[in-house]
Amino acid sequence: MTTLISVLNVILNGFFFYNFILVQFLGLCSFLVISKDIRSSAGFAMAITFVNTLSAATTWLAYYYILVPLKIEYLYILVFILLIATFTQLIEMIIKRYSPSLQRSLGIFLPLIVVHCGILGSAVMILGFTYSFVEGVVFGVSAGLGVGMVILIMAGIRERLALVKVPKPLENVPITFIIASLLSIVFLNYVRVITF
Amino acid sequence: MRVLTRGILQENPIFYLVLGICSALAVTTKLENALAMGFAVTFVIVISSALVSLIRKHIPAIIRLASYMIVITSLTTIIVIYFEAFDPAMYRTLGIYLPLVAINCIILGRAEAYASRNTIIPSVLDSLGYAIGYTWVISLVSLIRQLLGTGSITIFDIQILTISYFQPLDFMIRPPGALFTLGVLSGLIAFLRQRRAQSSRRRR
Repeated sequence: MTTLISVLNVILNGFFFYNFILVQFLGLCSFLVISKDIRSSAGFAMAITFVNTLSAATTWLAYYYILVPLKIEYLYILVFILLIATFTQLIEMIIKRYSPSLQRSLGIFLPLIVVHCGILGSAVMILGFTYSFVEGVVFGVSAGLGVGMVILIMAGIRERLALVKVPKPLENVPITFIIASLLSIVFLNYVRVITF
Repeated sequence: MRVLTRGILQENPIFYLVLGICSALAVTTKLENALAMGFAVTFVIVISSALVSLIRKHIPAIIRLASYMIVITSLTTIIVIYFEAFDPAMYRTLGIYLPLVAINCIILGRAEAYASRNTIIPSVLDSLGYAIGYTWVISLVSLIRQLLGTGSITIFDIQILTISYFQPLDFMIRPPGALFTLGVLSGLIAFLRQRRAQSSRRRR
C-alpha cells in the first residue's frame, strides 16, 4: 500500500507539481515552436515521453552502477549529456532502419529532443529526489506525458487563436507566454487541491 | 566594439532569438539569484568561446558539436562545484538550473555560430556581449518580479528599495508571474520595434 502511494505521488509529481513546462520552465524553446499545430504536437508528445522514459532509466543505471562505484559523481552532467545524445541518435537510426512510418511521425522530432532541457532536467531531478529505479522510470514517463499534455492543450488554444484578432505587438511569442501564464496558474493550484 | 554590443541589444538572446529562456524564467524570483545565474552563464560562455576558438582548427568538422559540448559541460561542472563549495545556499536555490547551464542554447549557439570561425579576441568579445545581454534581461525580469511580488528589493542582505503602500502580489514570484512578465516585456519590445520601423518608413 505504501509503495502504491509513493508511486502515485511520483506520478503526480511528474505530471502536475513539477510540470516541466508550466512550473519548471524546461524546454520552452521547443514548446514555443512545436505548439503551432496539433498534429506535430502529438508526434512530439509521443517522442518526448519515449525518450524521457529511456533517459530516466539509463541515467539512473549509469549514475548508481558506474559513477558511484568509481567515485566520479561530479562528472554526472558530462556523462548524462553524452548518454542522452548517443542513445537518441541510436533510436533515430533504429527507427529509420525498421519503421519508415514511425520515422515520419516520431523520428523527425528526435533531434529536437536532444537539446530539450527537460530530459537532462528530469535526470538531475531524479537524483535530487533520490528515487529508486522504478520510481525514477515512473517519474520519467509521467513527466514526459505532462509535457505532451501541456503542448497539446497549447496547440489547441493556438489553433483557435488564429481566428482571433490579437494586438499586433503581442502576436506569436508574447501572446503564447501570456496564455502559458494563465495555464500555469491552473497547474499551480493542483498542488493545493490534491494533498496527501 | 560592434561585436560586443550586438548581443546586448540588437540580437538580445532572450527577446529576439528566444534562446535560453528556460533558466531565465525559473531563477528570476530574486535579483540576487538572477545575478548569480548571470555570473555562471558569463563564466561558461566566455571561457568556452575562447577555448573553442583556440582549438577550432584541430577539430574535424563531423565531431565539432560533440567536442563543443564537452568543453561547455566541463566548464559547467567547474561552476557547479564552485557554487557547491563557496555558496551552498545559492547552490540549493538555483538547484537543477545550474547543471542545465550546460545545455543552454545561447552558449552552444555562440560556439557554433561565431567562435568556431573567428580568432580568440573577437570570440571573447562576442560571447561577452551575449552574456551581458542575457544577464541584463534576467536581472530586469527578476527586478520586476521581486518588486511586485514582495514589495521590496534586497540584494545580499542590503535593502535597496521598498514599496510600503501596496499589497505584494504573490502571483508574481510564482511560476505564472515569470511567464506573464516575459510575455509583457517581449510584447513591449515588439511594440517599440514596430513603432520605430513605422516612423522610419514615414520619414522615407
